[in-house]
Formats: sequence, C-alpha cells, structure tokens
Amino acid sequence: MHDLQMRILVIEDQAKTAQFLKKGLNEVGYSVDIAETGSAGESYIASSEYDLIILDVMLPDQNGLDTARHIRRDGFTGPILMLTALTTTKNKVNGLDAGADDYLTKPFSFEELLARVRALLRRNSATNTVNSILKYSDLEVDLIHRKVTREGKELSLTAKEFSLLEYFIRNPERPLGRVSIAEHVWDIHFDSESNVIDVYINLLRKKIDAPFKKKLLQTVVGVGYVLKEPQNEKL
Amino acid sequence: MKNFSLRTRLTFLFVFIFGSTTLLFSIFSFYKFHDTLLSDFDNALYNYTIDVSQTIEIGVKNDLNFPPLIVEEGKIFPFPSGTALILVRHISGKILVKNGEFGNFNPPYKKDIEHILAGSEASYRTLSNIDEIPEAEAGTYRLITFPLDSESNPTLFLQIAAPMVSLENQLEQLQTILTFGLPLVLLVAVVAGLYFASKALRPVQNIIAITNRIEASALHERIPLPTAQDEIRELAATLNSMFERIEKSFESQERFVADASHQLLTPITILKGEIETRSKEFINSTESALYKSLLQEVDKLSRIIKDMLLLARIDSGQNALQLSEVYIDEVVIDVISRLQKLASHKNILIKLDFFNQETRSPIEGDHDLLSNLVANLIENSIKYSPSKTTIEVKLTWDQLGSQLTIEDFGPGIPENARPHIFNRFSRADTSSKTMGFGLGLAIAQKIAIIHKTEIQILPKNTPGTLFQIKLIKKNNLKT
Repeated sequence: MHDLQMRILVIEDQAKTAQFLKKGLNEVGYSVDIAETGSAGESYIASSEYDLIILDVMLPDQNGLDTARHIRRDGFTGPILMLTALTTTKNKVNGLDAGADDYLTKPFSFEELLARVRALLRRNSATNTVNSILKYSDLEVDLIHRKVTREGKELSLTAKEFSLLEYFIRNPERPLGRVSIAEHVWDIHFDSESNVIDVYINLLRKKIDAPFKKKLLQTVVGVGYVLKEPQNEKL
Repeated sequence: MKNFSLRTRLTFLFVFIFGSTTLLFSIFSFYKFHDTLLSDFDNALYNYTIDVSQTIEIGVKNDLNFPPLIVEEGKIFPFPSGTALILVRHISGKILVKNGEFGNFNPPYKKDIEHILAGSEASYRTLSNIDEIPEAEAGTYRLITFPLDSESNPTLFLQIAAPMVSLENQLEQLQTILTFGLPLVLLVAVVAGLYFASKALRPVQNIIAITNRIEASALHERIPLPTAQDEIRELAATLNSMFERIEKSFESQERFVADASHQLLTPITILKGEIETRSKEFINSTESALYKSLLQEVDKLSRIIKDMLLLARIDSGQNALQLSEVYIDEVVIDVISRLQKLASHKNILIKLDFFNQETRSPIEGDHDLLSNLVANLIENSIKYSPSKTTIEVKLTWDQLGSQLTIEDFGPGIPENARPHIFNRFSRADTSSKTMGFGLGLAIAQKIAIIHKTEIQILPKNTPGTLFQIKLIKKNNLKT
C-alpha cells in the first residue's frame, strides 16, 4: 500500500461540481487535482501519478469516452470512475468498453461516490497483491475475469450463481447456513421458509457438480450447505 | 377469403379461372365429339340400311323375300357384322319379317313412321332400354327406320337396330382421358399458380422481412432497391425514405433525452453535492434539519426528472430496448436487495419464493428496464403497506416463460381507481400523505407493454394488492 496520500484526478468542466467533489474528497483524506477539459486531464496524467480518476462523460472539448480511451492508450492502469447523466445500459456499456471501471449516474449522493472510490481503490490494490484465482479440489474460480473451470473445462455461470460459488470457495469446508448465504451473497434477509437459496444451490449443482463424478457441493442437514471433497468414495 | 395470404388468394383465383375454363372446354369437346361420332355412325348405318333394302325383294302382293344378308365385303361398319337386328314392319305396326336375335325385343316405330310420313329420308333414335334383347352387344343400340317400298307413300318400313359398340368405346376412352386428365391439369394449375404467385410476391415478402428486421433493431438499414423499374422498386424506395425520417426523428429524440438529462441533472448534482457537504458543518441544529429537507426535495426533483426522461425513452418504443438474455430471478433478487433498506424502515419483510425452477430459462428483454419494472412494483407495495407486514414475491416458471406475482397486505387499491393507476400522475391515495408521484406504475406498465406483456391486478380475498406479470420466453414470442 502507499504510504502517501491517495491522489485523485477529477476531470469535470462544471466548476461547482468539481469544487464540492474536491472539498468532500479532501475531507476524507484524498488529495485532489481538477482538470476542466479532457485534454488538460490527459496532460495532468502524463505529468504526475494518480491512484484514481473521476471522469465526467460530458466535457467541453471532447467526449469523456474518448478521454477514457486516450488515458488507457497512454498507459494509465488505475481505476477510472465515470460520471454520467445518462442511465441506459448502452451508455454504461460504452463507458466500460472505453476503459472505465465503474460509473455513477448524476445526481449521486456523496456517500455513494465515496463508497465507489473506496471499492475501486481496494480492488485495485487487491488485484496487485492477492491471488485472484481461488482453487478447491479440481475447481478454479477466477475472480477478476469471473471464470469458473473444473477439470480444465470452462463452466458458464450467471452473475448470481457466480457470487454464490465465490462465497463457498472463499469458505471451503465450512458449513454455511441459508440465512448467512442470503445475507453475504446478495445482501438480502430472507424469510427462513424461502426456497430461494435451495433453488440456486440446485442450479449451481447442475452446472458444477452434475457433469462430474465428484460432488463437491453437499447438503448439511439442519444447517445448510458445504463445499467439500466427498469423504468416503463409494465403490 | 380475407384471412388467406395474397399468395393463396392469387393461386385460388388462378386455379378457379383456369380450372373452370378447362372444364367447360372439356364438356364442350366431349359433346361435340359425341355428335360427330353419332353422325358418322348414322351415315354408316344409313348406307348399311340402303344395302340391306336392296337385297329385299318385294312381291306384287307385298310378300317379301328376305334372303340371307350379303354385305359387300370391304365395307367397314361401326358395329360387328352380323350383330344388327333387322326387321320389316307394315305401316299398321305388324312385323312382317325379322332377322337376328330379337328375343322379346320389339323396337318402337310409331313416331319414326310419323316422322318419315312427314317427309324425312329416315328416322334415327338411340335405344338404351334394351333389356329384352338377348345377349346385347352394347349398352345402347341405334335404331334406323327407313321407307322400303316407296319414298312418297310408303307402307313398308325397314328397321335396323345396330349396337353402338365402337361409339361407346370411343366415348369411354375420351371419358377416361378426361377423368384422369382434368385433375392432373388442375394439379398442374395449383402448382403453377403457387409458383407464379410466390415468384411475383417474393420481392414483397423480402421487403416485409427486411422491414421487420429494421423495425426491430437496425434503423440504419435500408431495403436494397431492385434493379427493375417496377412497383416493387417504388415501394422499397418509399419505405426507405420513411425509415430515413423515422431514424432522424429517433436520433433527435435520443439526442433530446441525452441533452435534457445532462442539462437538468447537472445543476441538481451540484445542488445535492453543495447541500451534502454544507450540511456536515451543522450538526444538531435547525440548519441541519433545513438541509435535510432541502436534500429530500432535491432527491424528489431528480427522481421526477429521471422518471420523465425514462418515460420519454420508453415512448420511443422498441428501438429504445437494449435486448439481452435476462434471468428474471436475478433481477428480482437485485431489486429486493436494493429495496431492503426502504422496507426495513417500515419493518416490512419481503418474502421471496421460486416455483417450478426445473423449467427456469432466460427471457429476452432490457435488463435495466425490467429491473425498473420490478422495482416500481415492489416499491409501490412497500409504499402502501402498513408497518410490520409482509410482501410476498413469487416467481413461477413454466413452459412458456415465467410469472411474477407481488402481493401486499395493505389497504389495496379501490375498485374505482384500478383502471387509472397505470396512467401518469395518478395514484390510489388522493391525500398527499404517501410519497410518490404516480409515474412509477405508469413506467412499469409501459415497460411491460414494450416487452409484449402486461401488468395485471388480480382479485384477492384478503385486503391488499396482487400484481401479476407474465414474461414470455424468447422462442415463444411471436413478432
């Protein structure tokens, strides 16, 4: 981790927006520079080091998407958080394709902005230091590329199935209850009668266990489920 | 007829005209041929009769000498020789001489004699009632009656009945040809009709297919103009210019929404940011309360703007959709997790259950819009639910897709308000105690409609509201 203060560049032409961003970010301890145009932003990045960039999509001299592309082309690898007034998926996808890591739609609450900034910075340092591929038995989960392989075969999982599997592989051989799965994986408090968790466990089993001989996702009666090697091989 | 395609109708018309003409022509030919054959037969019979009459010798006292028939060799008669039945009859009707196997057969004569007395050379008639002839050679016999002794004042008549074997055979052959040939011709007409109708309509069908595709997804595409300078080319060109205008207006609509979003939301962002940073400076004071209230109003304002912009986007129809494969269960979970905080403020428990998950499959839809739809419904239920109640969300899959129900146990929507709740700026509770601006359900319903479905309010026994929406699987969608 850095000993120094985290440095953030805000590329935003609206002086007032830029000012309150700077003020708020300063208050929680980040050092902030402001560029009012895309090209100014690019030259800031060329001349000094930043840990994160907050980029408005609407800039006076160029489209923020182009700015993001230029920044990436020039070799910036840190996180870019886009600010946009547009809320359609197409716009978000365009932003992410252009090289942004996350987006926030206007108007946003400052708390949310801070939370995103923290998450992006944490993710960035985690990628650099922690192994992003988790393994259990012959199962491999790549957290960055969100890929799952078993016996070398790639398995296609939906977002929810992936989050569920991630929770299990982060806690191998530990029995996990339904309520704790719901709260940790999806931030939901379910009624204990709900069958949602069981449904997803079954869907996940179909994909990661059904095609293979060894069944890793096991039921723990009265508790929940556990990711574990089968104990006694049946002959 | 109106329900059939143009191709079918054209084919039908073609077959009808072609078929009826052919049929009429065949019937006409048949009778014409029949007449010709009959007149040939009669001529031959007449010649035969002359031959026969010349062999008969009539005595002074009208006694007849009827020697065995000697028919001149080399003459061809249209009936087997020796099968003709020959008799001579007196004008009184008495049969004087017979030659041949008549059996009980007594040929009719009265009208024929009258006919001849009236001046005819001979009289003919076709007999089909010939049961009395033993071992008849054919189904019908032709009977000729001919004056034997004198042309001007005959008293003796020669009658010859000849089997119409060859004529019957020929007509039978023609009939066979027609009964097998006509359906064959009609079949050819159907196939040819279908072929030509398809061929003529293929350019139109192409245009329909391309137009559908353009309407559904790619507004920038155009119909390729055919090289021939015909009506089809004109149609294609007209449609193309229409697409041009639609694309332009769609673009300007998109641009408006983008501009309006930016222009309206930027000041609100600043307002919100300024208020937020400033409010931190005042803790536990009246000013802090003021800022909090200001912030609430700014949030309301931004919500209204976003909703209206969203409505404007949805109003532009199918083109606004960013379609992808969506697992509706995951959308529901995301929405619930987002609304958990709102619900827990009122101590409301959201219960979620899945049914029939063996048939789980994705639907095709716009992920963001669908999530907006579900959120609006659940938010509405939270808004109108009293504290410490539950909201039951159930998702049931079936072969056709899935069905989502959201049930709350609040006061429910009064019967008379139900038809209006999906209109803009209306809501069940007319007092302003409950927050909300009446756009949520209108948006939800619009989203449902552009996904080719509809939100329904189902009747229920307990108080409260039960929303239901059915989402159809991609391959079951009929476009």
